[in-house]
Amino acid sequence: MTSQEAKELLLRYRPGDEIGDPEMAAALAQCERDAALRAWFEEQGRTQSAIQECFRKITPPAGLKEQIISEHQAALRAEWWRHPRVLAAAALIILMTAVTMFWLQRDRGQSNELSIASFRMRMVKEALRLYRMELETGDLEQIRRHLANRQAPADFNLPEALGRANLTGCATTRWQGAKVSLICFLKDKSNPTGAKSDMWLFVMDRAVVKDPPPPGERRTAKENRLSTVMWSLGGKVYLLGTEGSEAELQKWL
Amino acid sequence: MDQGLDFESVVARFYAPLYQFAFSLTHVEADACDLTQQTFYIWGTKGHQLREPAKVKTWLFTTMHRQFLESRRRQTRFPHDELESVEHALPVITPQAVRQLDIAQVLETLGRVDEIYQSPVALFYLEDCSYKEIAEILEVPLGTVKSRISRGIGQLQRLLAEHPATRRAEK
Repeated sequence: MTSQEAKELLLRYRPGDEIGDPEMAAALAQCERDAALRAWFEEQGRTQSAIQECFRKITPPAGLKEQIISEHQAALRAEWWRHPRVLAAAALIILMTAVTMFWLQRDRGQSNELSIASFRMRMVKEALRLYRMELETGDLEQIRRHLANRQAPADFNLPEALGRANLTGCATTRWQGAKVSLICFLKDKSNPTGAKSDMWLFVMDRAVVKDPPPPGERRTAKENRLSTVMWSLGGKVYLLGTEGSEAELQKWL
Repeated sequence: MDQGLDFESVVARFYAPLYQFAFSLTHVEADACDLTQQTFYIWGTKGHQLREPAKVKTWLFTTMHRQFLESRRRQTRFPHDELESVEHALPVITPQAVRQLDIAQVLETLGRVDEIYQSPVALFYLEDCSYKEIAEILEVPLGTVKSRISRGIGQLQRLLAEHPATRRAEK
């Protein structure tokens, strides 16, 4: 190792550097043998100490630590909600609320959809606007056969007065996946409106509706422009509707 | 976060050496304060990602150094003299001049040393970090760090010897 190489190493000497650094140890050993190098190293040591002392004199301004901590606390207060855990918790709450609402709405919706009121509303709409007569006949037996062929309720019981009404035909429809029989009547053959039917009887399996009228009870209601009455009999639910008053409807029961 | 790594205890433990390093780099108190605060701000937002508590010190110094380099990239490079390598004979600063060295003079001179040597030299003189830690902080190999420290010290002492204040002290 030349004197110049030793100087290059010794420039960065810090006490203890020779431990585990053979090159530094060799440079120090060379100092012991080379008086000129030793003199340079001693002078160098003083210079390094003076420079180091200058660096040690760097002191942070008063209040810096407190300012750093204070700004951190302010940032935490301002941005606590941006913390990943807070965001995750918020997202979880929103998700759980949405799922709960969905199930509640779904249950409520399903419950509403299966109610007798929903059935009545849908059937009145059917009677007034939607249905297409599948069989036009005044023969009740033909009507029963047709309905049976369509897998719709055919073994219904007509109230005595209604049995005397003028049959005009029948049709089938569906409600909540169940077949519904529609039997059509004309109350007065000399109906001035020219309508083919003005009274309708819907028959469906009673089990499909969640709140059917109890047996023996007749439940009347006005739906759209029809007066309606509903009752249960022999495992079926019946809905009779006609334009006009409830009293008029009662005549057919 | 580890109990020993709560924000206040980390600040209490490292703000002074970090400030010293920042001041060595910037030579301006306000800039050094900003750099120190910025470093702890980053620690406050990203420090929780650190898995090894023993690495806090190098993490902070590395972050500060990156921030400094980033800010320097946005500024005009410091004017500095092209210096020759340490192989040339080192001028000796006289004992009288050495006794009169002050921090302003040293840091002003450090600012004229090649940029690549400034951070290693500052960390060397601050004595808070081993060579291995300095290498980790500056993200360069250990051998490179040692070489840069030697060359940086050589440049610093040469510039100090030529500094007008040193010349005046020698007369």
